[in-house]
Amino acid sequence: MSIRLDRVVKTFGDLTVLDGFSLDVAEEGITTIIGPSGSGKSTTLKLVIGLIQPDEGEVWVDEVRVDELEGDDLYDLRRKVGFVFQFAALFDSMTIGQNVAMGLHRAGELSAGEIEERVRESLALVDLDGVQEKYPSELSGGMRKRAGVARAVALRPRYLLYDEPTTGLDPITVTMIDRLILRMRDELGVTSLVITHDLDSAYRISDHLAMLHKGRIRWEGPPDDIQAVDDPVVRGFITGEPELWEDAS
Amino acid sequence: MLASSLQAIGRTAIRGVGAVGQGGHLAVGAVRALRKVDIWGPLFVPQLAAVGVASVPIALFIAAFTGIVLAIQASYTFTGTVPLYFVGALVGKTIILELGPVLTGLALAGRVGANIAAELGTMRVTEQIDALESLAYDPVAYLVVPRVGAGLVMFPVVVGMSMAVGIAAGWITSLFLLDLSTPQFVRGLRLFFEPYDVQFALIKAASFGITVTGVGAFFGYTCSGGAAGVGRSTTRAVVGASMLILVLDAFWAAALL
Amino acid sequence: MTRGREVMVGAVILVGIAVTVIGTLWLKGSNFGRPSVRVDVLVEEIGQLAEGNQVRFRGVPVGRVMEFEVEPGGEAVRILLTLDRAPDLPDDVGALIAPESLFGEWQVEFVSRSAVPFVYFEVPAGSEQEDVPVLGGFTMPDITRLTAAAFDISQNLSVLTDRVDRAFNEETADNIRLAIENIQDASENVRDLIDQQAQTFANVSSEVERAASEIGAAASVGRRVLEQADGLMASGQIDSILGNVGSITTNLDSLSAHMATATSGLDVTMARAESAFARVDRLSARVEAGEGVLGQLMTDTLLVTRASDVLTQLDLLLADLRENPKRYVRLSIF
Ligand SMILES: Nc1ncnc2c1ncn2[C@@H]1O[C@H](COP(=O)(O)OP(=O)(O)OP(=O)(O)O)[C@@H](O)[C@H]1O
Ligand SMILES: [Mg+2]
Repeated sequence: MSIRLDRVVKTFGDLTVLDGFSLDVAEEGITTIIGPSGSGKSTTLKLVIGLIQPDEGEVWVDEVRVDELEGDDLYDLRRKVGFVFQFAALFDSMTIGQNVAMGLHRAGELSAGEIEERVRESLALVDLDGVQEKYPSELSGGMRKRAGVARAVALRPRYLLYDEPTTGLDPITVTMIDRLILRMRDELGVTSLVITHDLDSAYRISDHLAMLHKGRIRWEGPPDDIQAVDDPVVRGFITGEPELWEDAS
Repeated sequence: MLASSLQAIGRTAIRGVGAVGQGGHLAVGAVRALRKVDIWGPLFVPQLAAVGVASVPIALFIAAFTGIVLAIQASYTFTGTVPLYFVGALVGKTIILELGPVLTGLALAGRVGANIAAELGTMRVTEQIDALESLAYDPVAYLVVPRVGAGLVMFPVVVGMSMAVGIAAGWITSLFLLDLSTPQFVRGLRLFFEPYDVQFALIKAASFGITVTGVGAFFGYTCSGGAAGVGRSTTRAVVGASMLILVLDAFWAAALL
Repeated sequence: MTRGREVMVGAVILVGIAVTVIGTLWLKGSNFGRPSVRVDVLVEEIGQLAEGNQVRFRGVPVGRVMEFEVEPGGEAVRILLTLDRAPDLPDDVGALIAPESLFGEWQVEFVSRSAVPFVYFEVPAGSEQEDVPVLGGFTMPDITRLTAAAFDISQNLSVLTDRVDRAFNEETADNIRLAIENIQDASENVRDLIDQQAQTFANVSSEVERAASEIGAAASVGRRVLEQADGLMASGQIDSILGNVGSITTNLDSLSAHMATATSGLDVTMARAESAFARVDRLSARVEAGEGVLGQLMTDTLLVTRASDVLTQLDLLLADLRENPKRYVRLSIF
C-alpha cells in the first residue's frame, strides 16, 4: 500500500512546518518533492520513518500507522526503509566500509563474506571503489554524500527516501545517482521518495512530482505537466523568478 | 519587567521539569534496551576500555598525590599529643571513605562525562543518531547502555585501584618524608579499618559510574544547536555530574553509614 | 587490536578486583592461611573492645579479636581470639581488657593474675568449646565509671556519718580522723591526676578543673576538721565534726555530678564498700533497738576499718590511674 501521509500537521514550537499535508506515494514509482528551503521537506521524510511524530494526521507505511508505532515495531518498519540523509550523517568513528555494513549487520541476513561483497558492490554503484578503509573525515563532501547513498541502498530496502541526494555533486555524479535511483526502481522494484532542488534531475527521474509550499502540497502531477501550470507560486519557483514568487506567496 | 521575569522563572521551571522528564524517559529506555544484547554486547568491551582502562592513569595519578598530601598534612596536624602512627589511620580512612571514590569520580566526570556528552552531542547534531535509528539500531541500546554499563563496572575497579595506590603513596611518603616506620603506619591503617568501608566505597563508586556516564549520555543525547550546543551539553554534563556526585556522596553517607 | 583491548580490559578488571579484595583482607588483619591458635576469654562485659583489636602479651602483639558473643544465659561475653603464635603464658594467666592508648583502641592483654590483681571472671567448668582454652577476663572501667563510683562512695559516706552520729567515742573519732586523712590523700591524688590530664587536654580541662577545685575544697574542709580534732574531743562538739564530714561528702557528691552521669559502679570496690555499709546498717539498727550492745558497738572498730578499706581500694585505683592513665581516659577523634 506504499507510503501515505494524511492531513499531517507538524509544529516546532511556534513554527508550523506542515499544516494539513497529504501525499500518496505510488508503489514501485519515484515520487519527488520539490519546494523552497525550510518548507518542511526533510521533516516529511523523518515523519515517514518515525524519527519525529506528527502533531495531527496520519502517516501510513504498508498499512501500518507509523505515528502510532512504538519500540521494536518501529525498528522493524525501519528495516524496510532506506534513508539518505541530507548531510550524509555518516558515523565518523567508523570507516566508510563499516558505515555501509552497519545496516547489513543489523539485518543479520548475510554472512560476513556476503556483507563484504555487498559493501563493495554498493560503493561501486556510487563510484566509490577503494575508499572502504577511509574515515568520513578523509572524504570530500560529495564523496560523503555518495557514501550515504551507498549505505542506504546496500540494504536493498523496499522503500528508499532520498533527502537531496545530488545537491553539491558534479554533473557526472548527479547523472550517476539519478541512474542509480532509476535502477533501484527498475531492477528491484523499490518505491522511492526523493527530495531535490535540482529540477532537471527531478524531471528526469520522477514518475510523480509534488511541490510543497506553506505546509501543504501546492501542486502535484506528472513531471511533464508542471511546465503548463498557471499557478504563479509554482511558476515562480520552477522558473526561479523571485519577484513572481514573492508576489504570489 | 515583572511579567518578563515571571516568564523567565516559568520557562526555567518548565525546562527543568522537562529535563527531568526527558532524563526519566532516557533511563526507562536504557533499562528496556538492556535486553538488546545483540546491539550493545559487541560495544561493551570497547567501552570498558574507553571508560575504565583509559581512566586508570589519571585516577592513579590523582590517588598517588592525594595519598602523599594526606600523609604530610596529617603528620603536620598530629604533632604533639596525637601519636604519629595516626597518619596511617587518617590516610586510610580518608582515602577509602571519601577521597578515593569522590576525587576519582570528579576527575572522571571531566574525563569520561565530557567525552560522552561531546561524542553523543556531535552525533546528535550531525544526525548520526537519526541515522542509527534509520538503520534499525536502537540508539539508546547502541550508545547509552554500553557506556553506562561500562561506568557501572569500571568505576569500582578504578576506585579500588585508586584506594590501593593512594594508601601506598601515603605509606611511602610516611616512610621517606616522615619519621614513620612501616609497622607504625600499618598499625594506624588497621586501627579504625572496617571491611564495610570498602564495600561502602565500591557502592559509591558504582553509583558515581552510573551518574557520570548517564549524565554525559543524557546531555549528549538531548543535545541541539550545532557546535555551540555540543559545547553547552559538555559543560552541563561535567557540572551536572560533579554536583550529582557530591549530592550522592552525602546521600550514601546518610543512608549507609 | 580488538584482542589486545579485550586482554587489557580483562587485566585491569582482574587487577582492580585483586587489589581491592587482597587489600581488604590484609587491612582486616587476615593472616592468609598461616596457622593460628584460637583462645576464648569470658568476661562480664567488654567495654569498647571491637573486632580486629589487638591481643598482646608483655606488649608483644600476638593476635587479634575475631568476634564476640553473649553467652547463653546472658551472664558473660565470650571473646574469640586468634593468635598467630601461641606464647608460653603464665599459669595464672588472665585476660585484661583495657584501652591501649588515649585514642580509643582497646586491646586484650594476657597478664599474670598475681602481678595484676583484679577480679577476673570465674570461668565455670565446662565452658570450653571444641577444646579451645578459656581464660577469665577483667574489663577495666573507664573514667566515667570511676566518677560514678566516687558518687556512690560519697553517698555511702553520708549514710556513714548519719550512723556514726549515734555511735561515737574517742577511738572511733580517731579512726574517723584517719578516714578523713585518707579522703584527703585520695582527693589530692585525684587532683594531681586531673591537673596532669588537664594540661594535656584543653577540651576536657574546664570540666576537670571545676572538679579539681571541688576536691580542693573538700580537702581543705578535711584539713580544718583535722586541726579541730583535739578540741572537738574535749569540747564534745560532735555536731560540728559531723557537719564537716557531711560537707565533705556533699563536695564529693557535687564532684561526681560534675564529672559524669554514668550510673554503674566500680564492682570490686563497691562490693566491699556495700558490705561494710550493710554491716553499719545492721549495727545501728541494733543500737536503735536498744539491745544493750551499745558498748560492743562503741569498741567495735570494724565499721571504720571497713570504711578505710574502701578508701584503700580507692587509693589503689588512683595509683593505677596515675601509672596507666591511658586505661581510663578515652578520647575518640573519629
Ligand atoms: N528539530 C527541529 N527543531 C526546531 N525546528 C526545526 C527542527 N527541524 C526542522 N525545524 C524547522 O522546520 C522547518 C523545516 O525544516 P526542514 O529541514 O524540513 O526544511 P527543508 O524543507 O528540508 O529545507 P532545506 O531544503 O533547506 O533542507 C525549518 O524552518 C526548520 O528550522
Ligand atoms: Mg532538508
